[in-house]
Amino acid sequence: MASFIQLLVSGLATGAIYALIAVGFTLLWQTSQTINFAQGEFVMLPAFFILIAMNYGAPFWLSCLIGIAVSIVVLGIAFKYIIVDPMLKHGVLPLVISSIALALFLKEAVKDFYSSQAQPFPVLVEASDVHIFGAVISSQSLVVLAVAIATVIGMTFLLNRTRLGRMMQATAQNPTLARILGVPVRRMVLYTFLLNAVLCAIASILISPIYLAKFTNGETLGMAAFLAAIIGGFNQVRGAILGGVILGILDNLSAAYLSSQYRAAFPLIILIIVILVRPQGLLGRVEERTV
Amino acid sequence: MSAVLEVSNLRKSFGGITAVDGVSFEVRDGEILGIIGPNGSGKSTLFNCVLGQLQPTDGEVKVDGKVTNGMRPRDINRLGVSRTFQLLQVFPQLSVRDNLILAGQEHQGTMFTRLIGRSDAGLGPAADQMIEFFRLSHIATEMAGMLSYGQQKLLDAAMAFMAGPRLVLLDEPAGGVNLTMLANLRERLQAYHAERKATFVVIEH
Repeated sequence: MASFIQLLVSGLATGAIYALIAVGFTLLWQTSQTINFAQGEFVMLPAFFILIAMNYGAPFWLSCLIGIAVSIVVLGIAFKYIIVDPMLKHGVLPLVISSIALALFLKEAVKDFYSSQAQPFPVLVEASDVHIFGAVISSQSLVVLAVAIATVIGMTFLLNRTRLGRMMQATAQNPTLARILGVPVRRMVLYTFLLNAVLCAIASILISPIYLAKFTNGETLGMAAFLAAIIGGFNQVRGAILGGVILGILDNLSAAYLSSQYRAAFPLIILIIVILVRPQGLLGRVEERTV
Repeated sequence: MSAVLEVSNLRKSFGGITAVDGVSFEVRDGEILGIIGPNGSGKSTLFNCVLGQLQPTDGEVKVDGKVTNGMRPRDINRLGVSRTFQLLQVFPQLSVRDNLILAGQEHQGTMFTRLIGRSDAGLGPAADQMIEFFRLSHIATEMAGMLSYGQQKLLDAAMAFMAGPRLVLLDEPAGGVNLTMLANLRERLQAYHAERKATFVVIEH
């Protein structure tokens, strides 16, 4: 029982990080039909922004703020205006291909210009153990879980309880009507990209102490976020959160109780079952499109 | 009475097809004007040109004496022109109340004020009034996408009135609505017109 609780908490922590990344994925899809296959690299990169700032002597907390700010500019504004806007005019497929190319570019750029070696990344709190119902839980897992939950609550509050959030939702649900009613649709879409950049940067700060900062991190994280979004429902933020949590817990429990060699296969098995039984995802809704 | 809307020799072509060909009319304050024509005769295109969703090929549109050619839909909306849609347009994942608040021009302000301002933008009481007026109280918290077609049609109409418009363009308000719901909608529109002296342009077959 103690080891189960331990695995559950650490799975929840990993899942909460996957959820953050997956939420960004679904937000971009909902507001601008952008499928960002560079999402994993968007999580890998901020860790290096932070390390660069620290190399210049900035303290960790300041480096995190700098990392988030640079992420907003590079992964939010620049990504939207330099890649998404010109490509989306030609359809979703060219944009998908461009985002795959961007993922490769970012990965190779970090490898060539920073390092191909995994870099140690500062932890948010000093490592210590907390005892809960006989289980030994690392304080790091609890902090990761707390920060991720706080971020999701903050984002949910923004989307559901503020005027800005309501306008962003309106833009995602019916841009034509939103435009007629006076909602600045283009600006709302930009805000979504900025929000995605912030979510990616926070996920990066949370996951890099565990995975270390490495140029290949995006491969695993991007795939996990993509699977989480599909399992939970690509068109629902709460679906992405659920998908991320399921994936994180499943990953940990399957590695411990079933087979660590096949741990990567279990999320794919769940994905296949979900697609066969409920193709719109666990919390997703069926969408109709006229082509 | 002054003219709220003046349309002069309006023309709209799509390539070789002329959808609207030299239409002229004016609507005075408090008046109800009906535009009747078969499917495909360009009625909705006319509305789209008036509201800035399409730019006319030729001709002129004036709202309260101001030429609106070239203006964006949101700017024309802010002049006090709103519309309903032939093909229903609501925000399906927002509640009826939130749909109305959005339609009430709550989008004004800066990013900062939108973040820290009241979440209902001060439009909550007006939305509740409109909910009551259109008899939507029992479904006020329901997601718009979950409503029946007739209920969505009522919501669509209520949204058009939320910002207290000078002029409302009603695009086939009776289309696809059952007789009971239609009687309810007609009665509500008549009541609104009598109460607020609103100006309507109505498209029907």
